[in-house]
Amino acid sequence: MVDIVPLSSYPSYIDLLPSIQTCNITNLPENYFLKYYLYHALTWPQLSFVAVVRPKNGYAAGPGKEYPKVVGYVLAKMEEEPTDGLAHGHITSLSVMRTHRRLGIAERLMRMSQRAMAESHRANYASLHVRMSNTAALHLYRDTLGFEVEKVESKYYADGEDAYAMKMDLRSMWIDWAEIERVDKEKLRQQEKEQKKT
Amino acid sequence: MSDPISSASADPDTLPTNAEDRKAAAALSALNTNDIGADADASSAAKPPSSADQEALGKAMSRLEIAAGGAQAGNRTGKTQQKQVVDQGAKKKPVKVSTEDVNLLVDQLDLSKIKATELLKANEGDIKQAIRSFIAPAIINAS
Amino acid sequence: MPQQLSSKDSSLFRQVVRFYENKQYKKGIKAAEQILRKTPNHGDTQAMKALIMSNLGQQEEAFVLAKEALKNDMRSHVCWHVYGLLYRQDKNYEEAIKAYRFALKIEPESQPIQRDLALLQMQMRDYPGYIQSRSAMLQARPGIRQNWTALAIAHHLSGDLEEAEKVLTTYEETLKTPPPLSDMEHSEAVLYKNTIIAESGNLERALEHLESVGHRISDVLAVMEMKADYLLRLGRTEEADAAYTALIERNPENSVYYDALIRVKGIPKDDHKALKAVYDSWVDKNPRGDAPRRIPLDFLEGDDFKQAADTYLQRMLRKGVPSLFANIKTLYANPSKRDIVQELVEGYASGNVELQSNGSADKQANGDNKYFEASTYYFLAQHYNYHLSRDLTKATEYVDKAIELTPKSVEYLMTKARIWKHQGDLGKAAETMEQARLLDEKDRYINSKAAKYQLRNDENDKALDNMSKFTRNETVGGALGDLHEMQCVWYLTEDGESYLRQKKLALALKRFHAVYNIFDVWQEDQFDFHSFSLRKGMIRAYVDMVRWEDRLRDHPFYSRVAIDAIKTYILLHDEPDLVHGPIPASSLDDLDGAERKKALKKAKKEQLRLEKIEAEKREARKANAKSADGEVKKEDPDPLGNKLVQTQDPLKDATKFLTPLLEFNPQNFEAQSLGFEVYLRRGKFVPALKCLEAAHSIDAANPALQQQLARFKKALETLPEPLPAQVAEVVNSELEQLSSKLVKA
Repeated sequence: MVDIVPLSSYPSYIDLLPSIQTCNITNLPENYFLKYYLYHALTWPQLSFVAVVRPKNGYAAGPGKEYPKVVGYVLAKMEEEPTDGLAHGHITSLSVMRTHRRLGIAERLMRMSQRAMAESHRANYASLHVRMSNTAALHLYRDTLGFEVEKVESKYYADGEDAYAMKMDLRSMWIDWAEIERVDKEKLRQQEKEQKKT
Repeated sequence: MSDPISSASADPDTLPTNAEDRKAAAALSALNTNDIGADADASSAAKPPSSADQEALGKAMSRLEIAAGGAQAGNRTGKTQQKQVVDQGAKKKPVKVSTEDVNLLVDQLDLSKIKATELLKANEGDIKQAIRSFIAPAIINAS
Repeated sequence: MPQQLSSKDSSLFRQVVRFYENKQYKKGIKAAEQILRKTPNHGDTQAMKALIMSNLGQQEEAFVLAKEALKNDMRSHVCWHVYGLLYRQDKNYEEAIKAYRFALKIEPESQPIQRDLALLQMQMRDYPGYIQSRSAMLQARPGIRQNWTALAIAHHLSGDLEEAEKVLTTYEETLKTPPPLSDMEHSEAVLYKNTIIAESGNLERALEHLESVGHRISDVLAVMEMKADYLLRLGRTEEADAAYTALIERNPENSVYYDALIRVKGIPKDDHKALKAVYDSWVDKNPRGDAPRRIPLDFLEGDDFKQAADTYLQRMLRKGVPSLFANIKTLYANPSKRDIVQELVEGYASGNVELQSNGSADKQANGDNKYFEASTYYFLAQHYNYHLSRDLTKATEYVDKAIELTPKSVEYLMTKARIWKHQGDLGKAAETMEQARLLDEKDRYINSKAAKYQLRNDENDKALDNMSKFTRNETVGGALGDLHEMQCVWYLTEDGESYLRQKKLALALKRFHAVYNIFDVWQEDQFDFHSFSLRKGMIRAYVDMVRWEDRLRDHPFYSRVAIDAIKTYILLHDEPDLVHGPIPASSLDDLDGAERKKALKKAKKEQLRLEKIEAEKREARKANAKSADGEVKKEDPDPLGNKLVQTQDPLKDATKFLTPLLEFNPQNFEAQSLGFEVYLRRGKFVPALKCLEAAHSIDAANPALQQQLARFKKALETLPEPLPAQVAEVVNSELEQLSSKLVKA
């Protein structure tokens, strides 16, 4: 039974970072120091999610607690210096253990992250890179999630393979901040009026 | 799928050649600031307070000081207010412990001097009681 | 008297500082040297140069220069500050703090010194000191919100929730108008305050606060989670129901939400019908999800279970979901469920598939039968390979059938390898996993598995060769160097365990220490975030990180390696000849005989041979490394672990691994048991007894306890010098109690 949980927001599963790092280095050639994961978790805590096998006795805390097995993760960030000047999210790394494919885990992880990019950071779009030979991933991004190929980046990967740079518009998921602010101001004015009356 | 970066180096002089690698290495390198000069803080200082005005801040500071019993730079008075937090449980009279006893515990219990002293003090200098409480299993209910 | 600079050099000195701050180290060194040519004993410049050198990795030279700088200018806060920074770099935090304090005494108004002191206090968890420093920093710059937040964090972590909240509120009250929703620093600070209120236990107030501010907070999911959690704990069932429903709509794949929803609905545990109805409604809303289909299998019984399991298994087998068995096997704790699953799937295998009565979606899937047969055999292979339903002959039969249908399936061959492993044939297991790898050479997962199985078969070189297909082999130290740099804990652990099996203790220790050092790095990693997180304003995640770092070594990665290392050191202590390399056990028994001498000689010769190979490899790499970027990177001076294994005191070294193990995993029986072994050998009777008692409280029936107790008593009786009277008294009385408990058991 696989659960999708936030990495470092609420509730926090930040103690899974070493297991996430292991999941990454087991599955993918692109690996990172633990500190780079920490950097994501602590700068954009809303954007990263983990897929874990539910422990037999649930998620107890404290001594004797069981660390759940990590079978997938999405590590995401906001682009810090967007070249096009538009705030946007970026998927740094996504992987699901081979033994846990075809359960829709990657799709769920992606959707959670994209939504958070739009809601929390007002990202205009999400971007990512994918190996041109990775047809399964390409299918997920393009056909299931609706990403579009923006361009080909030649020799993007260390082994010389090209990457598709893909993106997907997220603005439809934005929250109407202006409306919230308007309503709040209205309420405040109302309160002040009533205070003056009394 | 993932972005390539591996040997993210913290030294900007030896950044990796690949574009995406470089970005990640730079990110890690930018985590710590090197500010050291006297004017450093002002230059790197965060944006000025958005809508907090100086007058209100001044008042707030003084309110905080009263509440906190004067959390000042030198902080002598501050200690009174920290007492509950810091010395919790050890509010009793200071216990005197002999060096001999401490050394005995260091040797027999394989503890550091600091830990041995703490243990002895927590047990009012009673060496046998200290050993007993050391042995008592820390686990209340093993799961 | 300290030397003075000309006005031109003074401005050059300011440039040195700026170069350092912008991390332009080479330029910084050049400028510093320019000043020092005219004014060779200028302390501040020497100090700055030393600081930059340290950042370039020349730590030793930097220290020498920094000391000289201090000699030239004892009253310079720059010199003291740098001295502190160098100590910090060296991780000698106590000395660093002392130096910072000196610097601060000379220059009490300096913010950078104050800040560096504060960061170190935080790293060392000196909360009273940190509160003091943060108060001073706030005093100096109350206009910066970070300073308020930082003080609140200091109080919070030190346990003073009330004061933490007060600091945050005090700042909030200075805001004339509410900041815009785009102000994430504000949003986070408000939510942080809410977590503090909740932590204080006053959930009513936390909920009230959240309801008044929640709609303005940017971390939407967190607000929903917190609200649902508070409502649940407050017993406000109707609202909690709505809150968890909203969460499931957002993410239907989280069993925690369903657990909560069932709780707030107040459905009795044995009302399976009502429970199933709840889950079924979610299946309808989210037909592609797994959770609401899978969870009912946990509580359903008898025919209801059989029916639900039938539906579930057929659907997943048709889709060819490789994790189906992994998802099912937890049910086997209940033997009747295990038997039902077996009966069902055996039925499918013999062509006994009834048409399912539910959902058109499933009927559609029926058309797609190509997976079904092979998936069924694959499932049964895993089923008969599992320890609660093991029949390895059947497992082999079924896996072969599956492979016959789909010869290119990596998963099926992986299972075949696993069956070999359970049959005890590690060679065949590794070979089969290697075949699976060859079916998909671009996939690192199967590559990792193949390497792991080779390590289990003690083929260390082959394993590394496989790993090297995905590592950056230009790294210093080659593929193995990259695995170290990328903190590949699983590989280092398995490699070390393999060397331990082969009694190559030097290399085993080398790997175990590598993992130990990785944990040190992870602990050190938090340092930069003490300031970085304040700048970013993401305070809740930061506080969670601090608390996690405090218990970093309770992770199973640590306990596993610590247990391995302690076993290695005990072995080394008991059989000191192993320092020279593996020696067959038979020749160790034969104490003074010629066989032993021969074995020793052989081992020593082998050791020399390995050293020579390693030296040659290093020479070859040196030539390459130089050509790359002109700089020679540091090589490991002890790649074979010979220095580690030649220790004077193996048991003392074992204690380095043991202390955190016992601190963070006291409930681990094996840890306590090994603790006993180490302390008994070291003649530390009190800690040995402590471990024995702890082990007893974990598993009173474990037969190892009797044997250890007997050895403990014997060791006490044969002491050359009695224990000090007070110690002996306590030990004897405790021992008596433990003995009587053990007799009863």
